Amino acid sequence: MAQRANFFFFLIFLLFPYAILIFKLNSLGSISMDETLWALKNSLLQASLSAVGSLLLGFSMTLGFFSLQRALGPKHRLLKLFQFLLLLPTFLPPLFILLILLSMLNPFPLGIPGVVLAHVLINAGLVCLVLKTLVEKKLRVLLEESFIYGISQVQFLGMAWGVLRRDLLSLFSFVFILCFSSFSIPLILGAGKVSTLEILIYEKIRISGNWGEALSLSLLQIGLLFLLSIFSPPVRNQLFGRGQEIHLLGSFSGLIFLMLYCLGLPAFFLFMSLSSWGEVFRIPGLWELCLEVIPLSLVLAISVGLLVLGLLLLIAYNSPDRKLHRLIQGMVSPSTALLGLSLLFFYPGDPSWNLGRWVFGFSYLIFASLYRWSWDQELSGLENQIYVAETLGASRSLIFREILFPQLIEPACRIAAVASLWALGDFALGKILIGKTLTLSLVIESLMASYRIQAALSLLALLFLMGSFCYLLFWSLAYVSRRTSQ
Amino acid sequence: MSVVEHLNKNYESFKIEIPHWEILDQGVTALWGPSGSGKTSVFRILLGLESCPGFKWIWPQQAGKPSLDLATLPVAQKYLGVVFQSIDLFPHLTAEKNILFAATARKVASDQVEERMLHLRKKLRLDSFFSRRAELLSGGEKQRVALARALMSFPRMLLLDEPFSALDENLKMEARQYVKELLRETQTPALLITHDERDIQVLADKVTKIEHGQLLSS
Repeated sequence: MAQRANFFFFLIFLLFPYAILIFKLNSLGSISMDETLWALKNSLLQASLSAVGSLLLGFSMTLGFFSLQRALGPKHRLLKLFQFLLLLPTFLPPLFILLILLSMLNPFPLGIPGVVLAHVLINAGLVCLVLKTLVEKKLRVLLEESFIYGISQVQFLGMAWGVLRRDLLSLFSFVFILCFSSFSIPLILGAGKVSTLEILIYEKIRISGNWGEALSLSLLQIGLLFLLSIFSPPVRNQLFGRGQEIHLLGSFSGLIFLMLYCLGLPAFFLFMSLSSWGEVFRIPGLWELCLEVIPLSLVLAISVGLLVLGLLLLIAYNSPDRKLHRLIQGMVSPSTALLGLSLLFFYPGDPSWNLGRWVFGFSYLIFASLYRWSWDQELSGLENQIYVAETLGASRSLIFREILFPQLIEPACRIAAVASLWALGDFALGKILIGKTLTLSLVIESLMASYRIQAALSLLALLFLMGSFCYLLFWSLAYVSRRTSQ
Repeated sequence: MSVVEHLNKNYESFKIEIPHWEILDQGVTALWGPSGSGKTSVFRILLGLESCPGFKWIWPQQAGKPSLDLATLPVAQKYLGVVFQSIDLFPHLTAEKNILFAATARKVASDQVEERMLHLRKKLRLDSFFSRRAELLSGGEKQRVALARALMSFPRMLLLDEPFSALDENLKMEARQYVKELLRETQTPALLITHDERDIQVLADKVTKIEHGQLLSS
């Protein structure tokens, strides 16, 4: 009974933006075909180029990773560090990559090239790790045999294409969908030269105030995202035996890309943000504004973390729930603009709701990703213990209190800390819902928009510190909860 | 004697068909068969971890209580003790808390808990690692704790799924002996799932062979 209630709670929670938009169908407005087709063309073009670029750079870095693995040995600790650094651009708020790019390239190529470049840098690290796992899972035996028979790397890659073709297509679709529904990057780097579907929806909401047209565009986008997710092929989990060594794969140029990506970008960020720290005090009123927005930014970020923590533990309480698992896994997350629009339809014109709406909306936006990224694995790791406890006659609350909570509170707090870090860096949903520069990330965004890159960079270091504070806070919460539950 | 009826289930690669099977309500019944014969599937269906429409497990009338169909009860209400092949202790709890968990779950009276715990501690020689967390125990120690946990709640029957498979050869013989003695002392009937003939020689009072999902002999 409780499990069913829980399932329906999450069903309503996950489908609410779509439901609101459907209830508002009578507000549909006619759309300008020229404008829409142009935005659609831009969306498709930037998403395709970004996906291809991410796959190419990711693949090159995969080869580089194998070279590094060969040089250091397969179990060297530094490899873990490189894996972490590869994931960093995907898991840090887009503000970081945006600012690094804007300060690195002067003049920056705004428009489609800039958007594609940012998307490639954000996604290539993740692609690299996915490809590495795929190669290790599916090609080890083939690699060893090819090495024994003296096949060249080029010949081998030809064979590998046959084995991995479907997986690569699946990976391409994944990155394509991410870039297609990306909002913050085209908002900053499009710079008016390029309008994607997401930006067009935002402009209809915030600039022309034409919500009917925004609704029509949102429905078009939902349809497209739905079609894209239906036609993207699933990854096959077929394994090809067991091998030990990966001799044939490796590339010096890939290794250089890997080093630049993993070490160059963070080093550049650290150097630039430290060297431009003084800018905060040079711009009149900026430091005072920062002091004003820091408390609210922290409150919002911590609220997102706590809400996510609550949702994760609620799922754990009722686990294992296969139906709920399938629902969240199969969920196509709405884009930022679409979610923003549906939230604005909720008690429109009541500004006191804006901050609450933002906390709720942002938690919603990242929830499914966080579940898929880590929570699902944490829960499935404890399934056997749940079965054992059930056969011993334990009630749901006893299982949660004695078995699940003590083991899950730490990873749950870690995920909540990531959620609060993302929330700290969000400016996209904030711009749609709040509009004013009430948070530090919105202050940074407004500095970026006026090309005060040095000042924006200096505030990014502050954002980083605040993120560390949030992380520490959730880590302490995990520590205290674990100690008291034992 | 408890009776299993209509335990039929289709899987992708094979099917289980058990129209009628009698399990002893005193002593040890062994379900014996090679890997892939369907033993673990039967075990999971009996526990209620897998659905099997139409299946019945009739538990006989005892001490004035009417007979029961265990198949219709939720897993928690079947009152079974279980030792899984993978043992699956709760790694964050001490050996003591693992064992007490079963008593808490079944709300066993405190005087009974004390008495049973004393008996199990002595019989299974748990003292040297009683306060150690389960994740730090050796394979043999884990096995003893799992057995104590399963017996702690006075189950109506103990289900053992390849309980000795994770142990070294020299520990297996000792483990079979203490399981045998404990089951006799606590008067707990057991269903032993195994592929190892030596388990059967030492423990079983009745042997049922399973192959390709079908019972061959009883």
